Amino acid sequence: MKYLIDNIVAFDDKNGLLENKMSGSSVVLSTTAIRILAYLLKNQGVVLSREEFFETVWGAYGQDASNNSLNQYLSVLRKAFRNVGLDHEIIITVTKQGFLIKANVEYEEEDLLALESDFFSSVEPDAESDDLYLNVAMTNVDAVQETQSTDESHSIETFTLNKLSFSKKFYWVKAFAILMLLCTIAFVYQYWPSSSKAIPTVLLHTIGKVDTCPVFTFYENSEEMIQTKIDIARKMTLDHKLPCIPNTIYIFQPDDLFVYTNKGRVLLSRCTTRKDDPLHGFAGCKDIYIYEK
Amino acid sequence: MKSKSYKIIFAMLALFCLLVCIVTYWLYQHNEDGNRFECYSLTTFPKAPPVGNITLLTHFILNQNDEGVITFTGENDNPESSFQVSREIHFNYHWMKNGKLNLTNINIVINQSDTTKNDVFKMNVFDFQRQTVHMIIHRFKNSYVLGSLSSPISICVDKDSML
Repeated sequence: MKYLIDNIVAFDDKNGLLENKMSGSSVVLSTTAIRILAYLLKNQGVVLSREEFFETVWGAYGQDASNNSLNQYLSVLRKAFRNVGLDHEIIITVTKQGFLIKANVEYEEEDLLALESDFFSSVEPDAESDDLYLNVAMTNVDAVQETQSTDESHSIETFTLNKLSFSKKFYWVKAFAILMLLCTIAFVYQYWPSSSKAIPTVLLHTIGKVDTCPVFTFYENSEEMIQTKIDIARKMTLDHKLPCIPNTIYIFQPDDLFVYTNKGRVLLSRCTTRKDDPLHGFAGCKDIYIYEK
Repeated sequence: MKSKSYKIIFAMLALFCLLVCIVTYWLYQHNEDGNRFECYSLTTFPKAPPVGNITLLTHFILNQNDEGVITFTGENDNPESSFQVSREIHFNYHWMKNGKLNLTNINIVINQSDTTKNDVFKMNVFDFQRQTVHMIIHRFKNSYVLGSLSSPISICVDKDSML
C-alpha cells in the first residue's frame, strides 16, 4: 500500500521506501520499522498502546519485543522523517497511553479497497473518542519528544482531516458488510430448495392378483371398483399377451372413463421386481398404454 | 478495544454468511440431484390397423443443466405398413409443483432410420410439436411414473439406481 504523508512524503510499505516527492531524498526502512509505520498510518489519529504494537508488529510474526525495542524503532522512524524533510513531529507519544501519528495521510486510489477490507482500519471514532484524541493532541502530548509542532491550528486541521478519513473508512466497511449480507440473501433466494421442485412419491395400493402376480394401482379403491378393475386388468393381460411370470407385479391405472365405458386412457405395466419385492424397486417394466377415443 | 470488537463482529458476520451459503448450496445440490435422472421404459401403444401396435423403447434423460432428451426407438407390428421409429426429443425443462414438468424449446431430431410420418407419431404416440409440453412425473423407488396431465403413460426404470 502507498501513502502520501502531509502531501509531500510518499511511503510504500511493500519496499519500505520513504521518499520526499519534492526533493527526492529518500530512506529505506527495515522490515520491523515498515510494520510499525504501516500500523500507525492505517490507524492514524488513534492512540495505539505498546501492547497493540507488540501484538501486531512482533507477536503476529511469532516474535517478542521489549519497550526498548519499540522506542528504538520509533526513534529510527522519527529520524527517517527528519531525513526526508518532515521536520515537525509526526509520531506523537501520548503519556501512559501509547503513540499516534499526526499527519495528513492519503492513500493511492488502488489501495483504498485493500484498506477498506483491512481489519486494522475498521475503527470508528465516536464523538467521545474524537474529543479525547483532540484533547490528547492539544494538551497531553508528551513534551519528551525532541520537537513538537507549535502550530495548534495546524493540529486541529490535521485531526479534522483524520476524523473525516476514519468516517470514510468506516463507511466503506459498513458498505462492504451490507453488500455481503445482500449477496448472501440473494444467494439463498436463488438456491434455497423449493418443495415445489421435489418429485412426489406414489404409493401402490393392491387390488388383487392376476394368477400369482399382485396388481397395484396408484389410488385407493372401493370394494366394488376393486373387483371391476381387477377384471379389466385380467382381460387386458390376456388381450395384450402380457401374462403373469415369476417375480413380476402389475401396475394398473385406468381412468374413470375407461372403467365405465371402455373408452379413455389406461396404463397396464408388468414390472419385474428386485429381490422378489416391489419395495426394492424394479428391474424393468413392460407397459401397455391405451387411449381409446 | 473498539477495534477488536469490530473485528469480532465483522468476522462473525462473514462466518455466518459463509455458513448460510454453504448450507443453502448443499441443500440445493442434494435437492437438485434428486430431480435429475435417467430411466428406460418399454411401452406398447395398441392401435387399430393400419397402424397396429407400436412398441417403443424410451430412454428418458433429465440432465443437470436443465436440458433433457427423450429417445424413442421401436416399430409397429403391422407388416403391411411397417415403419421404424428412431427419433430424439431435445428440450429444456422446468419443474413446477407436484411433479409437474414443463418442457420448452422442443427440438425433434429424426434419425435416418426413422420411417414414421410425423402425423402418425403425433396421433398415436406423443405430440411434441407444441411450444410447451406438460408432463407429470412421480417417483416410486427406482422408477418414475411418466404421464401426461391426463393419465400415467409408462413406468420408467432407473436401472443404475441402487436401493
